Amino acid sequence: MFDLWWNYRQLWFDGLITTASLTILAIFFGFFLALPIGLARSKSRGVLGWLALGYVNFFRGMPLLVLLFLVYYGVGQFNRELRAIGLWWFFRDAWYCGLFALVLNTAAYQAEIIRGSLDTISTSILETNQALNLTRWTAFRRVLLPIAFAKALPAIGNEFILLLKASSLLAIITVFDLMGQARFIFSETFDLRVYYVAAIHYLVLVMAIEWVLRRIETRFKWMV
Amino acid sequence: MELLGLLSFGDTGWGDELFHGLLVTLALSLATFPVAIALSFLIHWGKVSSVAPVRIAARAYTTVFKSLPEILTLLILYYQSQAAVAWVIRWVAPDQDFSMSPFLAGLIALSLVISAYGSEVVRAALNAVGRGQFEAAKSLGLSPFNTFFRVILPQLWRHAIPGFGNLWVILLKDTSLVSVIALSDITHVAELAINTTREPFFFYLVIAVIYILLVTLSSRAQKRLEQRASKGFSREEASNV
Repeated sequence: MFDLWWNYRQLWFDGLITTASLTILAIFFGFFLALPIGLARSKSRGVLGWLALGYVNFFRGMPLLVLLFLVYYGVGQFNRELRAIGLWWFFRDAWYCGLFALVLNTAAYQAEIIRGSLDTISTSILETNQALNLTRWTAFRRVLLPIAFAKALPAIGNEFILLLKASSLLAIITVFDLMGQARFIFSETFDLRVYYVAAIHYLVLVMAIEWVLRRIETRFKWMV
Repeated sequence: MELLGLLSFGDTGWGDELFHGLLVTLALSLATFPVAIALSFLIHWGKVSSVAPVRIAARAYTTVFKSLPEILTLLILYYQSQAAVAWVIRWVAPDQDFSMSPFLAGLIALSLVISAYGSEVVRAALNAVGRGQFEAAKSLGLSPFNTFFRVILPQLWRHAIPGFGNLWVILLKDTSLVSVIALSDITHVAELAINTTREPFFFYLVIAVIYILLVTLSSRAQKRLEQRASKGFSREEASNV
């Protein structure tokens, strides 16, 4: 098995970089998309709240695979219109489409996480904000958001790992991440052990991330 | 309008094919779920076993299947079991032709993945029931079998519904992965339909809506079950699962 790894080390390395960069970018952009949605889910009873709920149910309700196909093959069907508005370069590229689908997907999950942590902030903290005469915006930015973030951290860490695993689906729309490279090397060698090499990569990655997350969580524990 | 015509039943439309795909998706989920739940209990017992090798094996099992992407687990299982079956067949009955069906491979792979998460649901639910129930059952002289089925399981149920409900939804969506190994579930049927009609956006949107409906129905059913299970408990106790 080691020879399969060593002979194709450049490909494995490229795949690792693709997987890692896709996951990190998706969780990052997803967080900023999730922030207003989670806020609307938690605070708004009106139209915004309904829209946020609709977003969450829509993107959590379908498999990521279907979302990927919808974005990559489905939207690609409108290439003439996309060319006209100058977005074709984005939807032509599997990497961008994959990232886009991952962001849409993870934002729905992260929005629920953010809502959960905003909802569980104790009323005494809200009362303290009022007693200190903080404006709503200041209270949100300087008090509620940091606390909510610290509370959400373990769940977001979990989501990070789930997203890393989910990113392997991008191989199906021809992105060469770890899984994509494994499929490519398999097509060259017809050796099943290729998939075991990929499995070891994922195993090590996830265990390393879990170790880092535990360290970060212990740093933020005092805030929760 | 002409797009909707594509969904009609019969020779011209894809409605009946999609419906058949939906049945395959549901059949796979419904067949996998009980297996996954049963495995979850086994894995949990393995994790708290007094025999060290069993404990280590059960821990390794959860770590591995929680870390690997579902699609990788599925591919490895499908190809490897194909090879293994072929190898066994060559020794046992060389003139027979037998291969691992994608349905069975999907069932096994998905139950492995779901049970890795399920064992944690079981652990949390057993904690919520409490050690006292085990001790009480033991002091009454109940056999381990009776303790589990008569005392623990009826109480465990209430605490396990939310966790297993989530897993059911995850399972329902993960079945779409078997389309990659050519099981004609609804996602695979949509791909076939697109190959002939060249309407990817429409068909993927249709099956996305079907999945969303299935998930919404499931969470409705889960709410009902939760309400049913927490009958006779105060609101505080009921929310304290």
